[in-house]
Amino acid sequence: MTFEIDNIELSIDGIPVLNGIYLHSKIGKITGILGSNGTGKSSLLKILFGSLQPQNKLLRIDKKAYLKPLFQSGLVKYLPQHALIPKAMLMGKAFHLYRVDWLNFTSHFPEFSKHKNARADELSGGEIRVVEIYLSLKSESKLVMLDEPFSHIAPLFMAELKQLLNGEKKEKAIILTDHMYRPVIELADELYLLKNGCTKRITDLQDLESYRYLNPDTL
Amino acid sequence: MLSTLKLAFSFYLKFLWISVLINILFLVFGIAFPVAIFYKLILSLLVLWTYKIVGKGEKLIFYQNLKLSSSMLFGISFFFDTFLLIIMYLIRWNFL
Repeated sequence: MTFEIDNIELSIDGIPVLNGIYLHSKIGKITGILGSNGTGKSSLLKILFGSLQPQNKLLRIDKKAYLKPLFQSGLVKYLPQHALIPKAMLMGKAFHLYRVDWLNFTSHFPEFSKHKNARADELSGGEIRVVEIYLSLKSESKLVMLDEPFSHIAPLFMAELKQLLNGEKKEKAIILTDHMYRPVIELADELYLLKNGCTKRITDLQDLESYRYLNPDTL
Repeated sequence: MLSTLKLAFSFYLKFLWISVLINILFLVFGIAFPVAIFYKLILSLLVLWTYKIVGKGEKLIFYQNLKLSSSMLFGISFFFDTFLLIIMYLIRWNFL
């Protein structure tokens, strides 16, 4: 299954934010999106998800135009940049609603066993992010979009999450964006840079320096 | 359908106590049932507007991930709220 989006026109208060976008994601691949602050990475994911309405867009699933908000298809799970799980919700309840097995989760992350009956706001920022990434990845879908998932994550959890991402991509298309560019580069099978409202396909990592996303000799 | 109702109810729970309080005020001040429903509808639309316009719409992604749009979420929540209002008015009419 492939997901493609292009012809996006998004202006906010008359200022163009996105105008020359092409993004392609398919099952079996992780698509990475890099870009400086304010380039529209989160807006792009929201448009793809269907929670932000641009002036224009064309979304295709397996080459066929899909006109409704994508979330209504049930094919997508989206982890936004901010908190996903409502503050007062119990962990066990969130897993139940997303139909994800808590015991399976704690087999990957035994440190969380004690948190089943904890509210979301009782976990630390890093802990809740781990839970949210796991829920987004493991809940039933064909496309998973992760917006800055790695913020506040401890290195030990990062290794486990990378393994999970590589495992899940066999059955899902994954779109990943984060300012921690090294894990994104490491995980991504296809890489895009978002700059001046346009996506640029990156095939040579040196381009990240040429396009001034990274300082020279960073890589 | 049941899972959709359960999901919407988990959202509605955060408004339950304030809603009970408002219903009690309606009963204390003798507000007629149709007028109470109308006020509740206005309040629900105001909350929906607040969520959508004042940026809280992003807090609904948890529910949208499970195919539940914001309009659907608030519609079902209004249904729960109306049911609660009916129960409280029935108690008032029959027992108090």
